Amino acid sequence: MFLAVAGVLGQLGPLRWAYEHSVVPAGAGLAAVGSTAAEAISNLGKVKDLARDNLKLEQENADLRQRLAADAETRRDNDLLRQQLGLEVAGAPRQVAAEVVAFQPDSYRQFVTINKGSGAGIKAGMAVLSGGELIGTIADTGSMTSRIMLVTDPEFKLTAKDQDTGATGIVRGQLGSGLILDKIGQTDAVKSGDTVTTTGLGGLVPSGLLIGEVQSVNTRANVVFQTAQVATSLQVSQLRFAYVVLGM
Amino acid sequence: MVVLAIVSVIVQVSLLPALRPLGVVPNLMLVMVTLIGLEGTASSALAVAVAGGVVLDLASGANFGLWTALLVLAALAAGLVHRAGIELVGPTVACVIVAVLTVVEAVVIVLGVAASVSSWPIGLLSGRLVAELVLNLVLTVGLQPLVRRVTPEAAMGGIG
Repeated sequence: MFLAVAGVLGQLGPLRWAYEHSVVPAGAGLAAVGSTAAEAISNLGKVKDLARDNLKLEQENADLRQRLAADAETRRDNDLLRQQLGLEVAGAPRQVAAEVVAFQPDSYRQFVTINKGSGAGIKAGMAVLSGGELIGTIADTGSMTSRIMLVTDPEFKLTAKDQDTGATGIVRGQLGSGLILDKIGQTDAVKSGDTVTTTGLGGLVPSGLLIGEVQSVNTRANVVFQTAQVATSLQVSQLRFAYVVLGM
Repeated sequence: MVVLAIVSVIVQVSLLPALRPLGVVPNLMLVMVTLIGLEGTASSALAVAVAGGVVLDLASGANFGLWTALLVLAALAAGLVHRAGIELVGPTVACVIVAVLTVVEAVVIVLGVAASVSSWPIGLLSGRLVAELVLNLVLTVGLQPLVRRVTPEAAMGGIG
């Protein structure tokens, strides 16, 4: 009970310091070994699908290159118009790279610890990316470490939108795994394959960060909101590096 | 025994969650505290429970103090077994304590997020609980000889 009260009052500084200087460095190497082993085991099961996946990825790569080129043109036009209107040119978000050094020690919650903290400019609420996707937000920080609440944690919530149709909702982690996009208006259009991104409303998470892709939509006539299942490529056990978005 | 406890804590927060055998994280610390309490003394089990629990609470995003409380409960349960004079021929008693506390851990954590959950994947949660139970029991049976070898002779019949 003493520890719980101390935790609520934020009086765990000395304990956290000891944890950051002993357990975290010792566990960092083992976490890397575990992630590598998990990835290797996962790859063993995928050998027979390699040729098919390779072809699919090549096609996606070609499509993405084309979209990148078109987006680059759009960005140039956007910057030019902003200059002409006297608005600030949107910059690339500043990020700090960190290594995952510890994981949630149980099977139900989804948190990881990284080896950068407030000393690197990290604050609670900042977005964290890996593999180009949002994987979570900073839950709390120490001087040398930070804890990330992953998007698949049952208490994770963030406003999000369907980038293809503009429909907005709240993306929430589900107990077990996975994400849902909740509180979508009944009249809003959402379909399988749509991209889900952050809206940037409230908090420190900028807009336009990729969250995942709509897998399926659940619509019923007698409820106010629709929900959609969102697929994310986040694999907790293979998470090695994370990038904290400090700001634009 | 101190080295074993330290290694167990580090493995619990780094290697086991990364590997996730059968898709779950086995509770190595619960197994170790229970075995130290049964094969050694209750006071050493309590010390490991408190120190290890604090470290796990710092790494965990669940309610702070949960891990410490769970591990202290395991140490006290093992101490009560000593006090009751129950014969420890095999791993049965340890398995019972570990199994009960594995279920307690799952229930407490899931209840802690109940207010945020909109749908309950009962099948998935039950499957995970069963997988974690199996792995914890396997660890209990497998680690008992090691813990018996490294713990000092138990102070028979009393806590501390």
